[in-house]
Amino acid sequence: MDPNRKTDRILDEWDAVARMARRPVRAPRRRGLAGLGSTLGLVGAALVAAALVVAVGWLGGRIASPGDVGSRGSESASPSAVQTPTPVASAVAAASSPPAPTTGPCDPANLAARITAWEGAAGSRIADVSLTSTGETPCLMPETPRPQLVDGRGAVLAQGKITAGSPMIEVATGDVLTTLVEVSNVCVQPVPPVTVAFDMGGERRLVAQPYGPTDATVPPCNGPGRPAEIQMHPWSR
Amino acid sequence: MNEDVTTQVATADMTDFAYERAYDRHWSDVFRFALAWTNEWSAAEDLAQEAFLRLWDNRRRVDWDRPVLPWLLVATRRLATDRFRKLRRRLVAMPSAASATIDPAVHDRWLDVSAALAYLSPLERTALVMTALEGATYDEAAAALDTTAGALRAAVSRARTKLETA
Repeated sequence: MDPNRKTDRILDEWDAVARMARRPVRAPRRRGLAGLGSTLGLVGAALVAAALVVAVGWLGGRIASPGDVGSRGSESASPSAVQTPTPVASAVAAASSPPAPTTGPCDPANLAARITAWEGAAGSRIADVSLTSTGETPCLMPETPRPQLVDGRGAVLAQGKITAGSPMIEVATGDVLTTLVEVSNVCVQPVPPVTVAFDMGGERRLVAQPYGPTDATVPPCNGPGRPAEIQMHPWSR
Repeated sequence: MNEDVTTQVATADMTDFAYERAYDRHWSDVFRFALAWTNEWSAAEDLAQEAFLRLWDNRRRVDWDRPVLPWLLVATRRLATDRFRKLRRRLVAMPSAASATIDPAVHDRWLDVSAALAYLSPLERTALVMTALEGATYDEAAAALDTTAGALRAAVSRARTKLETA
């Protein structure tokens, strides 16, 4: 590089500025069905396989040699034995299934939500949000409340749509739910910290703890004349 | 069957690890490539994230024994080209939005640099940055930019002339 040449001076400055880029801490991963499918598929398959091995072992022992504890397992793993766990499993599930909920709506004071990460996508930003129920009794909350992006002054930077007829989800003490909130086209300069809030209806509003006290994450402004957009996935366990 | 599943889970862990390692090692390379191509800070951030999402989607098909950076750069260029086409189709004027992650002091410096480089085409800009700053050979840069080494050399020459006379 020759510092006397204009091109090299520009390139030096380009290099210095580009080095100041801050890499998002977490590598992006596709969420939802597309991304989780293969991973959950493998984990699910592993769990099913493990359950089958246990069931086959247990039932095999019963069928092949009921009194012989030592031989319980492998030699009796016949197809007929593999078919039998279903009623056993459903009987256990039926016995332990909770009674129909008779609970009331969740009080936001008993819910602790926080943004655990921001992810980038073309023209938008996606907040990973985690929610923990701290109440002493189970309660109900909408699976898809109305999301909002709010800044440090409490100004609503993006207002989501109300999902008519959103199913209710029962939340027990200590339950952890997660969701993704996608925001795009924010054309105002926010006052930190930026965070997301959830309007759960009936003047019940849950504000998530921001990612950081000075976090000012907003998506790029793609159309100054158009409103900001925000949408969320249903809460899931 | 159980052994197969165990092998699959182990493979999944390995690809996750390889993916994380690629992110640690190459995010900066991908961001800088995208920045050179787009000359837009926030668009480069978006493209880098999208390129890694594409890598995530393809993590089971990628040959992790080979360098993954060329794959990432080609994916980034394709994403950038698609993005440009979409924007042109919609006739939406993109303001050069300041990224939320750029320091205000850096932002002002970036505006000056990007203005100086705005005279160049994406190919000229990226060819110049890759060969002059990133240490890429003409062949390596040409592969990432889907062109020939000769065309790349000409692009670098044009870029230098434009910047010197601007």
